[in-house]
Amino acid sequence: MEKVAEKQNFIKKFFKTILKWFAVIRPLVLMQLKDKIDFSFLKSKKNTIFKIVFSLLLFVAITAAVYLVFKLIVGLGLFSFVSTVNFRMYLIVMTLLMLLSFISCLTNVTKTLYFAKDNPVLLTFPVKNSTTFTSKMIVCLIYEFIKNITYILPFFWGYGLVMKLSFTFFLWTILSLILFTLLCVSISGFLSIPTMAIVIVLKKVKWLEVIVVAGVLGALIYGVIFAIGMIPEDINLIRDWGRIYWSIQDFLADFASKTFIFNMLLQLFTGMFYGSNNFKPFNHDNLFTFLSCALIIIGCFVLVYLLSSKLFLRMASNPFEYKKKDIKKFKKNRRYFPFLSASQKSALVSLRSANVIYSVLAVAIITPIAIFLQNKIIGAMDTRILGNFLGITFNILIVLLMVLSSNVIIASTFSKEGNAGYLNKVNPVPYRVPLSGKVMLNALICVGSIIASTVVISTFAKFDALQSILLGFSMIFIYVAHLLWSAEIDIMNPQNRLYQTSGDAQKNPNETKSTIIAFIMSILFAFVAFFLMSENIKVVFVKLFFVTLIILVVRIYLYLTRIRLYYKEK
Amino acid sequence: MTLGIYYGISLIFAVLVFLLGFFIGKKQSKILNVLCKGFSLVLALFFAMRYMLGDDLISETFALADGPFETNIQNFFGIILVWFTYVSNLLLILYPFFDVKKLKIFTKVFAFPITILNICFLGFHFTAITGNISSVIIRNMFFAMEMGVALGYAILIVVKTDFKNIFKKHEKISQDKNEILKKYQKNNFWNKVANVLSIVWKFCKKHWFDLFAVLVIIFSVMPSYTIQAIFGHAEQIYKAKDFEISHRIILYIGFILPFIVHYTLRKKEYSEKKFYLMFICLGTLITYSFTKKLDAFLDPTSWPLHLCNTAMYIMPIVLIFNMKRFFYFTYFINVIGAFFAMIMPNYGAKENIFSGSLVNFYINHYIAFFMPLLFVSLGMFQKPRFKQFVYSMLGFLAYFVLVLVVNAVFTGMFEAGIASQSTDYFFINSDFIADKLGRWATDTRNIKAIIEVNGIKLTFYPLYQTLFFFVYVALGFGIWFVYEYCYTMFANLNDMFERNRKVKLDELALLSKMNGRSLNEPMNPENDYKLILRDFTKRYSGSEVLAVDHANLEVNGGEVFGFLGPNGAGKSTIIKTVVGIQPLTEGEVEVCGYDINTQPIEAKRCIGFVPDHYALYEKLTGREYINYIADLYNVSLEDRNQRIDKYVKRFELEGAFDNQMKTYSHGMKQKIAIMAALVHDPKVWILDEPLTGLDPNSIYQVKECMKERAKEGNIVFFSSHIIDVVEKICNRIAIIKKGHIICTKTVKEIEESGTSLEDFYMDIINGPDYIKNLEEEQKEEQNKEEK
Repeated sequence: MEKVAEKQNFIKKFFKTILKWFAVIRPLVLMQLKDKIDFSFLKSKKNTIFKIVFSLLLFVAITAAVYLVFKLIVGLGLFSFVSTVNFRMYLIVMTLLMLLSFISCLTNVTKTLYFAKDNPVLLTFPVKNSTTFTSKMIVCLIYEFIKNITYILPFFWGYGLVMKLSFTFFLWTILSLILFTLLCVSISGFLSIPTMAIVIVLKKVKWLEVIVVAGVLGALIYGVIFAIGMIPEDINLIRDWGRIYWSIQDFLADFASKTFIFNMLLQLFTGMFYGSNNFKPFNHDNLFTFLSCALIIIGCFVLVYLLSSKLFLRMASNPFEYKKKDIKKFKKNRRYFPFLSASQKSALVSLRSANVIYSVLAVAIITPIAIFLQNKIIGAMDTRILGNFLGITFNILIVLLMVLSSNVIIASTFSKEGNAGYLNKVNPVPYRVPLSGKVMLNALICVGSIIASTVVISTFAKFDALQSILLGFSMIFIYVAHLLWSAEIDIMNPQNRLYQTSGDAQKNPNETKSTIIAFIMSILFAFVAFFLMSENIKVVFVKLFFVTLIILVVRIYLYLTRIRLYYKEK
Repeated sequence: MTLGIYYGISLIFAVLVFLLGFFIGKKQSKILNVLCKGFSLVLALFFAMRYMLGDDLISETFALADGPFETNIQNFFGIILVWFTYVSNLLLILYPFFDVKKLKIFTKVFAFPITILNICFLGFHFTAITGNISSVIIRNMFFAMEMGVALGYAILIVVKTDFKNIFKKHEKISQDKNEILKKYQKNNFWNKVANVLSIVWKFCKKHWFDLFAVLVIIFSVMPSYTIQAIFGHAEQIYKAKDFEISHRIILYIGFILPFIVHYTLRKKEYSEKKFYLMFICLGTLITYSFTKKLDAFLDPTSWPLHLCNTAMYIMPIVLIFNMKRFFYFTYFINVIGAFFAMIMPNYGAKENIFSGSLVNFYINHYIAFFMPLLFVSLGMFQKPRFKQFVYSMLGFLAYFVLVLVVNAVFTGMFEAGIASQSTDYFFINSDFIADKLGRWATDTRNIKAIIEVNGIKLTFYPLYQTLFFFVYVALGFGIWFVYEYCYTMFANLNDMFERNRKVKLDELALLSKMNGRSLNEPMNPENDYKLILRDFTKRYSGSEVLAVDHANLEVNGGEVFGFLGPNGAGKSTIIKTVVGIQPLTEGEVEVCGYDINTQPIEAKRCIGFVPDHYALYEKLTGREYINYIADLYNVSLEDRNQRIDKYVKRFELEGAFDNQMKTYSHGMKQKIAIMAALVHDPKVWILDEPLTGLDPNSIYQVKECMKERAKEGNIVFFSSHIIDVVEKICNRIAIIKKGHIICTKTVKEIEESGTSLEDFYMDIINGPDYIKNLEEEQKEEQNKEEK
């Protein structure tokens, strides 16, 4: 009897402890989640309904898109003669997706654990440091799970729909996603230690950072040029289809054998199915993979708890002040015109913020290379006139999508400045001077990239000089219009508070807006170009030039007027 | 002889209407109004009967030469007369229902001559509409009665007009005109022409919105065959092939027209807007009915059950009866349907863009496309809520079920040989839409459900039709956000233009104030070294309380001025406004003779500001930052070299000045902020809590700096909570409490009154004898403890 009572007491105690722990960790988790994810929609019923409907629509849209792509691939018979999705092809897609998800998770976990601005504040709360650390890990888990539901689950379900799999498959994939999230976060937590060390070293040793970035970029460029060199001069898909088909099969088999870990994982996540209604989540192999995963997750979490939590504490309690170094050689004072000075100041700030400048540079370098690669492939094909027009349209679309997407940084750059930017109002120059100066570096880099891309497009499409100039200017006009639009969005709706706690906002509404506008503008421009091209190729660029010029003039007017009024009134 | 009968009928009706209105309505205007409404309804009835009983002969004109008259001029006149008769009739019908003065005048000016013309050309008109004047036919009879009522009614409203009043009001205008006339009588011919043109131009400039609105009215009732009849069919040239230039131009017009109408009507009164919208709806309904005469209503296959056709009837009905729920049905469903119809038209590819049926098609779809949006944008109906969306979707469900049944029944009857034609309302019965969407849609349409009733097979396409319904509902839901976005965008644009206009007016006012001087010069040069606040008032948006309430202050050159007050009293608000960070609600701020509101750049050039919380670009070095600020203030290289050296030594920053500021301590950053404020040698130095975080040596240096600048004749204005410091270095202080400046005194005056600044401050803030009471309370407590 005593033993039973003791046991009951122990269970009671255990649950009490758990409940207590939960009561402590819950507000911590909620607080951090609110900072990461915008829950403001919960304030009103209407917004909540909209949010739910929108989220569902987004999910349905992605799933439908995936379904259609798989259906198209099956229809075209690119990877298989039978009308099912080739599992090896699916493996490539999912491997890339899982890797991307993992990289994003690693970045997020590293930032959240060691570089978030709220860490020192969290440490001041009356809870154990280990609890704070655990809350951070839970936040990462929840955030990653939501992300995976939005972006990975549609790939499972799209596949299931095309393969006409049973209902059990769809349920099983949700469970798989939990497992995948746990795996990602646990391994990321473990790997965040060396990642953090590398980041710190790179931050401290500037030249090393430059060498690493240059090396990576060089390797990428070399890889692309190597790939371009491998493209044959003459591609005739219909004539050579047999050979190409078996080359694809060889590649798939090779890929599957080299990525056997992902192969095993994917088999575990998708389960085993024999026909459309016979679905079994497990077989012997899968059980082995599952147990291995479980072991890795537990092992990683234990290691993370033992190692990372201490490191987290150390990083969070690090002093804010940097090490000073005395400089004996003084620099000279220089004088510039206000606009030039503002541009130079912003350029220096950008150049000293590695993540900003690298992402812009990467876009600027990759764009003309991507265009070159695409044209090389299309150029090797025997295309009809409609194909040529489609090729040019895709060139334009890719250039615009890439350079316009780089403007998304501009949609948060003023918010990130916080009070320093606010003090622009004190200076005795028109507001447009310091504000416009901030976007100059990005503009110069991307305009250069557009010019290079235009040269590539014009060379392959054999445009004359006037056509090339008009096309180049049209794309530059659209780019600058979007740049000013993005800047205007951020100036008019500053999101300073998002950057005050964690120093990094996962979902800045201004960035989302800018991304949507970039997407719509690129698609519209490409559509109009294609539409006009099929009507009359000779006048298409003249029309585009004037239309984009009008758009640019309107945007410049709106930008200047709005910021003038905003700064005068706010 | 027959024409004589028609004339007789017309004149009898004209005399009857006039006399009835004139004598009965003579005594009371209320009765006249009721009578007018009655005449309007009678006119509407005759007009509807005449119009709906058959097609006008002139509508079959494919070119001027093919018309019912012998010459082109006669045909042209006939077309215009028929068109203007519609306009005149509609104006007369709506006349008593809207109390809009300008429109009443326009009705008289327009309808009266047209009705006279119609009576004069009665036979001519019969040829245009029926082609028969020799025998008595029912349409001609109705037309004669219609014209009679219209004439009597038009004369009545002209006679009943209070011309005296109008003349009185316009006396001044006519005087002006007379003066101008006298003036140009002396001049030569070209001057006269120029003067007349200038009068016309001034009139047009003043009333161009009204003129434009009149054009909108006239063109909304234009019969759809008019263009084809006047300009010819132009068969070979202007094919309306999908997305070719002609189709695109038509689409552009569809998108531009609502903006024109909105822009023209946006500033008019509610009743005036309603009149115009009602007129457009009814006018286009008349045009649209050109293909839907009475016989069409008797034939089930021609019922106006296509969505956009339905819209033509719904639109005027919802306006007349203010039927909100019915309106939101068109708002969510018709607009999107019309949009799709316009970009995927179902007329033949060979159709000419001038042809009556095509013009009719587009007028119909333009109205269905933009009128619901205009109703909301012009304030006839509120923007919908979720509840209204649900209601409109229920309405859509009812409509969908109705057309589903009608389609199934009549198609079944057609297949059974009972009906002459099948129906395909809303295109949910045929494969018209499915074909455009692709094979998947055709596949879904292949799933059929057939029900046999009395030998008639009713065919339904359950999957296709359900999908069709839900896709449409989803589109309706989606389009809501597009509308919202567009409304917000236009509201923002309007707001921006208004604000911009206000700013420009301020600039103009400043120009006139400056009296010919340059805008860069101070408005009050005598206040060269002064900081003045006049009735300074600040209210933060969304707050009902004034942060600062009519504060007045004058600080002179050579003064160190201390600004004291508890937290939230309004110190920072005043400082932030003076330096230009936030705008003023009311009042004026003058810095060295410049107004901060109208001459902000010049005023800011005189100010150096140290904020309460340093805000620096931490990735820049101290030197880069100071140079950037110096560039903005246009400081010469020599001056900046000298000043930077001076302050770097003074604040002991030599070892760190070329390091990035992220490596600086709090105090060092504050020193950089102080340097940035002084690098351009400002006349007014404003500091908001400047000593926080500084080491004793730096505090001393800052204080010395302040004294030095005041000695040089500059103004030093600073807020602080450290009363000792204020007492030591300030010449004068002001104390602010709850947004009111309650005291301004020199430190000497306070000293002479025998109290310290601290005691004085406490008395002012907490009430007189605060310290005494506090001491007494403490003593009492001590006594208690001792006891």
